[in-house]
Amino acid sequence: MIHAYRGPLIVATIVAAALIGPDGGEARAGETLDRVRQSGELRCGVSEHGPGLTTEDSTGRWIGFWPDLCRAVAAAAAGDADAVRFVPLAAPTRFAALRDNAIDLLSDSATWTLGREAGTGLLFADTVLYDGQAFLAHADSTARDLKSVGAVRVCVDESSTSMHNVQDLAQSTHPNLTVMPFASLRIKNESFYLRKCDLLTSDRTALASARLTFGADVNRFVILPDIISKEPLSLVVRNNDPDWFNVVRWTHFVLVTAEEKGITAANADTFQASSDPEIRRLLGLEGGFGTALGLDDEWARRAIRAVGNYGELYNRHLGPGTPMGLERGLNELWAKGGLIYAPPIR
Amino acid sequence: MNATKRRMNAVSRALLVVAVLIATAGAGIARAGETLERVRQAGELRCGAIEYGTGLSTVDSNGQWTGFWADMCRAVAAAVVGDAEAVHFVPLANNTRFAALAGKAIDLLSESTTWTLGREAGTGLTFTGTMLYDGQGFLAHADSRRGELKSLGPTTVCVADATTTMRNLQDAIRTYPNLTPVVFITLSAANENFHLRKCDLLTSDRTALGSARLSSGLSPDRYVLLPEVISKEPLSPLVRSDDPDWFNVVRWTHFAMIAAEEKGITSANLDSFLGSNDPEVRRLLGLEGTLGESLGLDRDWAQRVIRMVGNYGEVYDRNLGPHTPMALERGMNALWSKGGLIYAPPLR
Repeated sequence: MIHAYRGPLIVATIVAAALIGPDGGEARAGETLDRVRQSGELRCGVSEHGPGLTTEDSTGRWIGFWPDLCRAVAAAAAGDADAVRFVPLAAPTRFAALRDNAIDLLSDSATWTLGREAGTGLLFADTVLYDGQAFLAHADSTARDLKSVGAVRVCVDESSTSMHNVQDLAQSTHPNLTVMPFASLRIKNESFYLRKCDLLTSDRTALASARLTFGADVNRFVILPDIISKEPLSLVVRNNDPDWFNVVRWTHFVLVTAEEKGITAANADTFQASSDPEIRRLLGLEGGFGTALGLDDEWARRAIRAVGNYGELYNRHLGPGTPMGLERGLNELWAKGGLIYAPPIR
Repeated sequence: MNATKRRMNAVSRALLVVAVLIATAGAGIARAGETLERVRQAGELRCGAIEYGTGLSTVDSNGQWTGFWADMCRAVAAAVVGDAEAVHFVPLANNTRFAALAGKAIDLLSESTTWTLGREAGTGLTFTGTMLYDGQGFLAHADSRRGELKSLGPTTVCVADATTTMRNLQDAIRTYPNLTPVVFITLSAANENFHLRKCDLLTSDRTALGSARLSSGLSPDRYVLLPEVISKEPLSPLVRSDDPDWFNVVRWTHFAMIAAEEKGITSANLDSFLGSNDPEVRRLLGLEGTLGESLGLDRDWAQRVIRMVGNYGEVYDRNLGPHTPMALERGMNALWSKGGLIYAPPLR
């Protein structure tokens, strides 16, 4: 009997598959979470952006703001902050790698733009770092701001939004800028260091980081005050798995909420007796929101313990006490004058 | 059973499997872009609306839905259908709004819904982004005893059921044990009973309380908004989570309105920007690039939104702003560059 209908069943399955999704792109909601759990690791796409942001230390470990966000999601979803397989990507291929299911999450200083999510199959989870494009100059040059520079060459990463912005500028208000595109971050930065170009342009965070890689006194370089764009940097996922989108965006929101409530990596376990209902829901002591996300009640506490709250994460990698030396600015909590805000866990 | 009959039996079983698979797919998984196609073919957007009062969403004397949230429906209709009036407003209640959306009775829920984790985790719904940053407050009768909430003594509070407001009040009672909720099914019933002095306070989002002050038929000066704010209420439109293309259309319509305000483009002066050489303006207005097409719309989508409904600041000021009876300063709802939280990713 079983043998008798196996043939038609296979045919039927093929027919059904063809009818359901011609492009094979229809993921089941929750598929990514299942995959991460079953394999016991999150495949997180990253690329070298320099110290503070994303880099490999001398032991080959990926460190920085963006790798730690991978760890936070892994802690929430796979139960272990170290259950991350970092997949190094080149900027031109990073979106394709995500679309092709080679990674589960892209955590890579990617600017959220309309063109990158409309019709692309990708979705930006939400801004985790508000940045803007700026210019780095040699301190011994005459450049003090964009207005004061004459005919200059500008080194830029060819597959970045920075490239589009500086081209916009060169074609409109600043014809004195000659754009020099590079495919490799290292060669681009070196070319600036070797004075093959007068200015280096990128996100402000990336310039602060580049400055640290030259092995010279950081004061030999100056970030010009002009900010020529908005660069809201976000985690990116595929758009066909809303459950996974939720896991990623709420892991980020949990870190923000923890900062608002004064919960840190070190003290996260001392709130067991808190009577603040928001803290109790955040830490899974009531409410059952972890289960609703397809996780468990400890998900948020694991994420906080793994990387700290949003402020700890920022200050450890980018903050005034680090070589990056970046004030919180727009990345301060909303209640303290910044833009960092999370919807309530309720 | 002979061989032929057995094979027939097998084929029919296999066909049953096909049927089940298709039915499952049809029920659970929408095709991306399905909602956009439906709205276009029907020539109208079905927008879920709730009576919140003047400024937010209410039916005026001509039977027209007006207010901040009704205008968001119109903005999406302008982008998608090409006509801001191509909106079928579907009146809903707090306890039916999510089911109406999940059950595909509406394409978009645009009313003062707070974006929370519980409302999008595992619910099949997704919030498109905070359009109005609000917080829960308290409205009192101006002639009643005054002072801090804690020191008021035993106080009754009118509140609508099935809202985040109700849950926040329950949370707040741990800090303010002197408060006793008096629960009503609808917001308008809660408002009326407060006006009739069946309770000492009315609690809701501060925008909704601003609206309630105006709805009593008495002078708004008879009521005062207390300074206590007991929650974050990020209010957001809501869509089903199974159609990411539609999610994009709604969230980028919202962002286009913000981008227009940043660039100083209004419903009145839009034409003067058609010759702009600012690349950001040109992309927003569809003068270059193919952003509209990649959303499944056309080049002029954002132009129509701005022309027919206005930029974010215009919509805020027209419905809620200092020169309206609501008289609400922009505050957190000012642009990020002016001290508020309103920010849009670039249209690039």
